[in-house]
Amino acid sequence: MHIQINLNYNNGKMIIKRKVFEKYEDYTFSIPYSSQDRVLVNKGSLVKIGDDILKRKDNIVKYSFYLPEQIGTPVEKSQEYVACIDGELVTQGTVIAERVIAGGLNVKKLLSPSDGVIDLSRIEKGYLDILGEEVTTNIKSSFNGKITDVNPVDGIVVNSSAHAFDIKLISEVYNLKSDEDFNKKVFGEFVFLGDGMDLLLKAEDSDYHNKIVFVGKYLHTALLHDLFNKGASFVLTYSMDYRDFRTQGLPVGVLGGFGEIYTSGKIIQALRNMIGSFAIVDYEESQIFFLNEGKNLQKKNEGLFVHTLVNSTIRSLSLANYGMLGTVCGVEEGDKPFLKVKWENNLEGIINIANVEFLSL
Amino acid sequence: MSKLSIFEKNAYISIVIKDNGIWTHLAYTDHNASREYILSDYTDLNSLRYRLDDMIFTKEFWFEYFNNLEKIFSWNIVDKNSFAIFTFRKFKEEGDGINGIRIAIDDNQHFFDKIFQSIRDFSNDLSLRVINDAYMQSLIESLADRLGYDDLLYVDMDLYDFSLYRTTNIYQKNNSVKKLFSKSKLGWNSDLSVIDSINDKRFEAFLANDLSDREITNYWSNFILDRPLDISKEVSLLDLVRAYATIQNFSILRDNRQKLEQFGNIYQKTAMIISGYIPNLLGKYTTLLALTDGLELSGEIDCFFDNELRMLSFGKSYTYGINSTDIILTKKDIIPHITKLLIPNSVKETNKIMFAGYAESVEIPRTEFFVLSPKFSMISLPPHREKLIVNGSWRNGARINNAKNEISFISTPESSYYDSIVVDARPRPIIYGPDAYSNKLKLQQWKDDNKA
Repeated sequence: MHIQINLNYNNGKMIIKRKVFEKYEDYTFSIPYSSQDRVLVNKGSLVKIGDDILKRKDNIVKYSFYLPEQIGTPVEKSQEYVACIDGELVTQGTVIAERVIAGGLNVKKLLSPSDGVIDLSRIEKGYLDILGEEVTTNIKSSFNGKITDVNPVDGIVVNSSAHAFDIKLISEVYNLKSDEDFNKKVFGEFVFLGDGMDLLLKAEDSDYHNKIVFVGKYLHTALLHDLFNKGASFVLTYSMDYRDFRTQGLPVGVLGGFGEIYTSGKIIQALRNMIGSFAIVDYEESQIFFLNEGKNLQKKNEGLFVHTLVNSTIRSLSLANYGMLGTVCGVEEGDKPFLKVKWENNLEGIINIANVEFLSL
Repeated sequence: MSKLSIFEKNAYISIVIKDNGIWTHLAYTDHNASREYILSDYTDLNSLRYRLDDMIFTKEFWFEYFNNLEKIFSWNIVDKNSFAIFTFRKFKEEGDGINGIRIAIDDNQHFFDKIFQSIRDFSNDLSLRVINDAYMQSLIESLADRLGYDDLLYVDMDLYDFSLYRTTNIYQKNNSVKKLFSKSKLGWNSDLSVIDSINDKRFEAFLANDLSDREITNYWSNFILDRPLDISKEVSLLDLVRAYATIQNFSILRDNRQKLEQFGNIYQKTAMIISGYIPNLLGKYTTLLALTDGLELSGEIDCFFDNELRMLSFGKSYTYGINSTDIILTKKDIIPHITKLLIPNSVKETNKIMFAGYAESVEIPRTEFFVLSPKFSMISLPPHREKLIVNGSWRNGARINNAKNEISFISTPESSYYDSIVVDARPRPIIYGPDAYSNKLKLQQWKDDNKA
């Protein structure tokens, strides 16, 4: 028999659910383009998945160097040690960065391994890139939407529906100072590394330019640097150590929490559905927006509040099994009601109602 | 609104939005039948913290909120017509309708403007207030007068903001009374700054757990981001929050020493109203320990724990008495039970009785209690329906400056109900450190839960 437990059993408290994916019907964003690119859509046109929207001219990245690793400079001071200028054509053996050490007795030099063009667009993150030949790529739409404007300042402004996922913390928020910084958005294709549950120290040998990479359950700093060496625009992880997060200086978003916490298979699976979507990391909102109407999550309108405790999905906030998802299968009343929960790992237990977060998956 | 007769039946809703939470109280009175009660609800908005500024948090939210509130309180509050337009039901009888709704929003609440606007869009029948310094000044000055205290400190300990408001009576030569108001605040503007605040070396000095630095920062950051409503079983988190509360209070004292000094030592009638997220987590004993050490308190202080924000919600209505224009409430549903905090200025010896006393009433036989040094001791007074007389005296050189050696007070169930006494019998000065292990031993030594 299905038992309905009404709100009065919530210890006289109303509980709001956190929607893991929030759907926004009218999400407006813009795709920046440069003067070399060719825009293939017009203001007012409707775009569908697979339509060409932009012909982008880019130079492939031949080499990336992380200067803090190469010559031991702090990330924020990397610019000071660069021995060439942005866009300069360098030949093999040219000194591209150098740093005097040991009180002037020694000099660490970084030499260019081949001919190429210097790109300092990521120098603030500590990266110096050497570009190779120019390639032209057709950027195809991975969403359905309406082009509301096209101009060189805002880029291609698109209105579309989107699903948002909360990012608990974004590392770079520390360094943002102006309003413009806070409005920062990172664009790219959402990709997964491995199956999302493995602990990886090195990324696959792929090009991660213009990609937002989800690394899975835990991010090690070795993997983070490897991904940025391979051009990643932004790295997302379910968890990582807070100190690493604070000190690494690269754009990282944490979705689940800090430390070695339990990683929910259900949430990883929900994120997996977003692979290949065009995604936007919005610093101000601390959310990642997925434009993937084709992969609609089939959400039913459940409302914001918890109406029945039994069968609700919860996430544990207790240190004992922090982050684990479970389904409520009973309630023990009292001053502080306890929930009987069937956890994701198939074990059953009880937990204080004030020590959980109610979710809508 | 017309002035209500004190005998009229009445139902009134007061809502406070503060620290990402909504406190709602529905007060009902029928003074003819001596019937008066308050129904309360708390809704945590932390799940919506990314949505408070966008289109998800709009008037639709309030439609859904009041719809659910009806079920929680089993009270007909709203009418919805065929166009889905809400109107508040006029008060008819107990359980049906209300005479008014007041919503007060803390000016520290994130996305204050957006929340304010969403309420305005929802209904014009609501009375809107802003909880700011002027509001707090007027509230605590009137509460001090009504409750009969010469010195009143309102301590609000939320995760991001610690605010202290103090009102002190200054007696003039011509027998007139001047009120001196002061405020002291400390706030963090983001999750990151609260998380990083524990990197302060002084924070380490107050810690008393065995966690590694990595565990501390990971547990603390998860705690700040999730903001659970109960951590009573998480000993290490409780210790982090206690240390955080102590250092926050200590920082406020350091920056505002002139405003806070001598609190508890000027007048015998001194009180502290304690509210916020942190006291709800820590409980009375640990909160008072954090306040005593953080604010370097001493003296005799009546402590009111306003855990459900009833004093903040209905404090003004209570102080207006029969002149109130919304609802006439008596003390018993608004004013929480009192904890008497006794902190001598000097205690030198250890393992000796520093305070001894007894409690008795017509229904309860004389029950004695005593406090040994170096304990920070909480004595729960027996539940009582008749007046309970409590007498005690300082021993072995312990005493409060400029005060009598004897402490005596009466707990009156209908008006001033004392449920506990906390006596700080630790030798002065109180020293924390040099490391977490030493603190752990000291806290174990200090802890002593007596029951009278």
